[in-house]
Amino acid sequence: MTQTGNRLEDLRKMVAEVLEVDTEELTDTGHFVDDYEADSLRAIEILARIEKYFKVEIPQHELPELTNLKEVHEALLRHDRQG
Amino acid sequence: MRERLDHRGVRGKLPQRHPLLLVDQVVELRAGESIRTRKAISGTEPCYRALPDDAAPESYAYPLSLLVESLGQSAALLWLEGQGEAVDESSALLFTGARGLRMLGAAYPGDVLEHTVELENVIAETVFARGVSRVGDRTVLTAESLIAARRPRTAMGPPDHQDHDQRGI
Amino acid sequence: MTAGATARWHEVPAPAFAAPLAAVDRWRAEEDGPRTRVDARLLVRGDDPNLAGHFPGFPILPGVFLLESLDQTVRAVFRVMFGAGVGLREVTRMRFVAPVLPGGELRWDIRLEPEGDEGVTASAKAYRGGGDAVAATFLAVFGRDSDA
Repeated sequence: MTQTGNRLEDLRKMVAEVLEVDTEELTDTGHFVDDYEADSLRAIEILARIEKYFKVEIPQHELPELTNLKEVHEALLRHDRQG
Repeated sequence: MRERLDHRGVRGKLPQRHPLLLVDQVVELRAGESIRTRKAISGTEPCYRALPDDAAPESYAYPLSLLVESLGQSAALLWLEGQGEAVDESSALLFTGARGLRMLGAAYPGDVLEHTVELENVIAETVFARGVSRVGDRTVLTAESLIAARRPRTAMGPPDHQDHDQRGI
Repeated sequence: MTAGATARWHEVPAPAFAAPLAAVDRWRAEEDGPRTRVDARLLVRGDDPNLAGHFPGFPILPGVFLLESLDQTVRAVFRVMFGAGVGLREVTRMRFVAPVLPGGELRWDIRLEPEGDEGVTASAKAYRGGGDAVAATFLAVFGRDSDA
């Protein structure tokens, strides 16, 4: 449980860096495009960094669904188990 | 499979030309994995033309912008292997950004830069790689992440053409 | 508000160090507490010999020249405002959003903030074509020259 919580916070920090917002500003359900002015390249960068730092590969066809931190976190947990 | 390219071969792959073709040769290329390239720095390069005679010794350092460009062109040579042309009729491979570039030293006329770039991943026509530039056993630049993407040439219109989905900070 | 709208413009002399081009024409700055906000301009010249090779028949200002422009601007500002030599140590991130074509004026909005004892963080946006279209964004760290 603690581990999952920490991972969410690590992920929040990483995603905030890519979106260029403060970590505290990035909420679980804030929409990347509507609330944080992200473009498609940012979502791709998030995927690339998850692969690099968490060693978890999220298939790129899931990109359109990854619109907030909660969805990215769920995808990370889902694909980590598969790996 | 390992491959080497002389300067003629480099010209055949990259669209840049004098004075901005900043890779002299490919020492080793492992397609989809890594590349090692060389770029010799000379006092005859245009960046030294206007340097005053009384300039301080450190003023002779090779400009960091050209250092980064040379590393970026090495990355492009790796990405382009088996991926078509850098610029074709409908699209072009563009350097879209980088993270974690650290300037750790300087290079001077007479030095030979050796760049090593390793491919990290390719997602939706966007490539990520990490790189190191050395002179001998001295590291001058490291790059945590170099990012390039294939973009339609229509996105490169005149300045009044705005890209509405691409906003800054 | 434009950065430093009331401050005077400083023309930048030709670089006294190896450089592919004179990458900033003029700047003005305003201090805001510990921070400094800089507005700088560069006319992107069509006859710049670099553009003949980037690319033949298809001139685009190389993205790294925006990094060169940021570096030259911060060095010029420090020399004049603080009498100090600085150099680029790290580019935390840089993002090229839209290509810069010759003919237009590049405009910088740079915020300098002290970082540690000797360093300064530059958070910068470059706008192209005299308008509000963002060409690139940067977050970079500069350090004082050891012999300064």
